[in-house]
Amino acid sequence: MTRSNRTAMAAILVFFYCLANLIRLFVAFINQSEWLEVVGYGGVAMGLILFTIGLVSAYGIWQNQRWGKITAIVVLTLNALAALPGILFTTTFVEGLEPIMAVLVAVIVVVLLLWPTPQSSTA
Amino acid sequence: MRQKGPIGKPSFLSPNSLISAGLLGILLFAYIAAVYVFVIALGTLPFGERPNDWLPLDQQWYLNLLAFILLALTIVPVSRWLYQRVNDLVYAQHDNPYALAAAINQQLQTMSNPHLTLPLVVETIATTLHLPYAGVEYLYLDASEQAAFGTPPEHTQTRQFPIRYLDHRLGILSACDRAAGRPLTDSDRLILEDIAQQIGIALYVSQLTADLQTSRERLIISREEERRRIRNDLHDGLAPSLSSFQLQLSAIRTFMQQNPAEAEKMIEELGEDMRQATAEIRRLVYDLRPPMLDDLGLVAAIKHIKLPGSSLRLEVTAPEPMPALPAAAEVAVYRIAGEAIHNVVKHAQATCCTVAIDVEAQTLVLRVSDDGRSLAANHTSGIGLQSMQERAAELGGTFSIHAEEEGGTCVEVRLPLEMA
Repeated sequence: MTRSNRTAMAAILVFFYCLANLIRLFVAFINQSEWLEVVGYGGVAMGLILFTIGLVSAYGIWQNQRWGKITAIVVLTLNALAALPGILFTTTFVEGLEPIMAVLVAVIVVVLLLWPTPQSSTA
Repeated sequence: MRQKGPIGKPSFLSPNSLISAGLLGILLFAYIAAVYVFVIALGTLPFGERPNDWLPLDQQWYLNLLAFILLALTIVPVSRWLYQRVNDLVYAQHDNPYALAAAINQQLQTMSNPHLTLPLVVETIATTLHLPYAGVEYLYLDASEQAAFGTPPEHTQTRQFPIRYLDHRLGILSACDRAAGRPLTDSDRLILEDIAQQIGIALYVSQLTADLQTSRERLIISREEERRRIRNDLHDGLAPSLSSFQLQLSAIRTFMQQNPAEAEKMIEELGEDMRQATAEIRRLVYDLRPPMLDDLGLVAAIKHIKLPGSSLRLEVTAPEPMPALPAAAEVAVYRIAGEAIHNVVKHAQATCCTVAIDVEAQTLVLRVSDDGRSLAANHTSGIGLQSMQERAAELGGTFSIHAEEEGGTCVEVRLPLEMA
């Protein structure tokens, strides 16, 4: 198995981003945070599913598997899409950071995974 | 032509097509939404000053226009880039090009016969890269051969990758687009170039092996023919002569007492026959290796080449001192020089012929040039030229003949001095 630096970076980014979001969701769920009412339990469940799949996809990327890359792109793009309205409708800069981060991570991961890698198998 | 397949018409409902279309759709939608949202967000009030009930869509019409213009300007290049990259990820060996390279390499390593291996190679390429057609045209043992897998669908382009090794162009690897409007990706091209390179090396090695085998067979055949010729010469020439001498000696012994005069005459005849037999032996020995090479050396032997009935001036130049040459190279140079000089006498109408021997970087260079008629543009190789060519090739050397710029013809032979 050969893994480029870009692939490794994408795997690490996806892993930590999804892990951080899962922890945040769990903490919010345990503390019964007010934020849960805004997002709704459906949103929380959706987030749990997405970020769990994201963690698995991070493993797939680390193993340089095509399914891992495709799944990560789908998960993070859906997450970014879900976060986009947050950019428009937040009233404070701190609130706006989270959706911006979601979009930023998605863009970085997509570029890292799709950017062509010059390679020569006979080199 | 060896053809396998076809893979079948590419389906737009295949899992890969659906994944590719779905991924592209999501990414494009996300891009449009993100551009729109960021333009609106950046153009409206800072976060802290936004009222809770603000409606950017109604109030900031020029931001909508700006977002639209930005999208209109960027959507084509972005979608093109995404299309290429997504196809690359889904279809090509973007994630692991080495798997295909290793599979091909394994097939090529065991290639004893390209006619059997290359059809498998193109099949592996087509199936692994999901290509409807892959083919290879190659030269093997001076014959053009083809192997292909599948058939190119309509409205697709077939891309060609030259198969070469060093300066030798050995063939062409062809691969067509996955479908109309779905061209080969950058990763595809890179790996196909690498595979063409691998095929080139394997093909060249295979060709060399076949050439070596042919050469060995020819060597054995020519050795056996040489043995037969010597046997025939000994059997038909020398053996009857010796038997005849024996008979003549018996006759002489008989006549010595009865008729000494007749015996004297017979002794003279025997002497003449023995001279002829000696000449015959000399001819045989000369054919094996010119004795002058051992008696005088290569340069002097060339100077002593006989030019019966010719006024041609022969000039021989060589390094001083002449380095020791392998026996085979010496004989080859002497024979080739002899043949070339005789060609000059016969065809060139020259007044001077120059034989130049040089040693350049472990290569012996022999040039035989004249000041006579130039070589005709449409000249054909006769037996003499072929013989010189074969002698050079036998020792791993090269032979060339060309017209000199100032008139005349030059024969050039290069022989490696490091022979096994």
